[in-house]
Amino acid sequence: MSTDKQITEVKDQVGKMSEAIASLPAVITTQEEYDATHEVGKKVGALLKNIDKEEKSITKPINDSLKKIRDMFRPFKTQVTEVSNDLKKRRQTWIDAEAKKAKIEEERIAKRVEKGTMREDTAVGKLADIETAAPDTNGGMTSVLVVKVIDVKLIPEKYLTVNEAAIKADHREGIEVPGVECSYEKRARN
Amino acid sequence: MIKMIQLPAHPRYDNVRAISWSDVTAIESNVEAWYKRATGVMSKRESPSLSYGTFVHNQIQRRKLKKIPHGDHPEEPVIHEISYKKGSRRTPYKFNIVGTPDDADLTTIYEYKTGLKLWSRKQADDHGQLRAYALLRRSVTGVAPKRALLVSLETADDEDAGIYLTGKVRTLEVVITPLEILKIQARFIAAYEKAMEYIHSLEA
Repeated sequence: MSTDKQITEVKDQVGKMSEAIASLPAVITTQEEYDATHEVGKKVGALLKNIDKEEKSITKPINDSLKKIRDMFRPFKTQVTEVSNDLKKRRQTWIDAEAKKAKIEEERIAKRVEKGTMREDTAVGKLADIETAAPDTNGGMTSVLVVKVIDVKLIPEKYLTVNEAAIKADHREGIEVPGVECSYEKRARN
Repeated sequence: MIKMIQLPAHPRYDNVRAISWSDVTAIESNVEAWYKRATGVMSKRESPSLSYGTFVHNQIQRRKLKKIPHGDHPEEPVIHEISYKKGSRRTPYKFNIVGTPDDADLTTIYEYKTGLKLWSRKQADDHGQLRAYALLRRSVTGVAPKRALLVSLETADDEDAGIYLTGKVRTLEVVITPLEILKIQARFIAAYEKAMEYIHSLEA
């Protein structure tokens, strides 16, 4: 079936659904109205499944082709990414080592000034040499903000997210999780 | 006759031959453009946002803006001589640096920044100007301020291309260590040497 034909069919079915919905009350007040709404609801659920099926009949072959193409390129991308990461790591290692060396030397100079064993004019001359000799990263480095958790107990509540999936799994196994209340709510389904 | 190589005069500071913090960043970025601007060959950067920044500073100085932290020495220009030794030369090299901290007291530097975006913690921490002003204040009082308050005031453009303060203010506290006071001098020295090397290349 052509895509246009599939769309036309779905459009027709959605039109019929709208007609069926129009005959239902907006607010249910009797058992009959509840049953009628439930019946139409089941048909609407089936329609949604049908739309999904029609959609998949078009998207599945495309997705399969995409997957095939991605599988063909993946090994090369993986290989090149590894090389790229390795080159970044080599640069990073050198920059870190140079920064560490400079920091040690700077702190040594500062301590000598503090102790009075080095004059300030000598110290700033030496620090200027370090400044001038610092690696020129030429825009090849960037600063990234990294969060390392030192003590989770000290983190204020607003920064923590609740792992609902883990709580539900434990609740089903009969484990009580302090600070939460687990209960079942009735939800309408088709 | 040997012509003496020297820094351009600073009209804002009675034509003293010195470099300011903005000179340092300009020299680091493009020494040729810095020299052209400093000698009047190229016009200096001016913009409505810069003028508005000056207006806001004046308002703060006159205490027209409430709840903005301030010191008790607003807009005091300072000239300080940096002396440094290099290599085997016995006599130190010397040159002047200049600057006008927005405000200060004995322990704190106050720096006001206006802009469309509020300053981040990292921007404030990395801002050498605060250390430069701490160095200048030390030359006046003999005590290096141990901290700076960078007060970032958010601005926005109105429909008539005017600028106004949105009311959002972020105050960032930056600790200034003795090592940073030494390192900022090193940065001035590196910029001074780069500038002098460039000026020398023009004279040669």
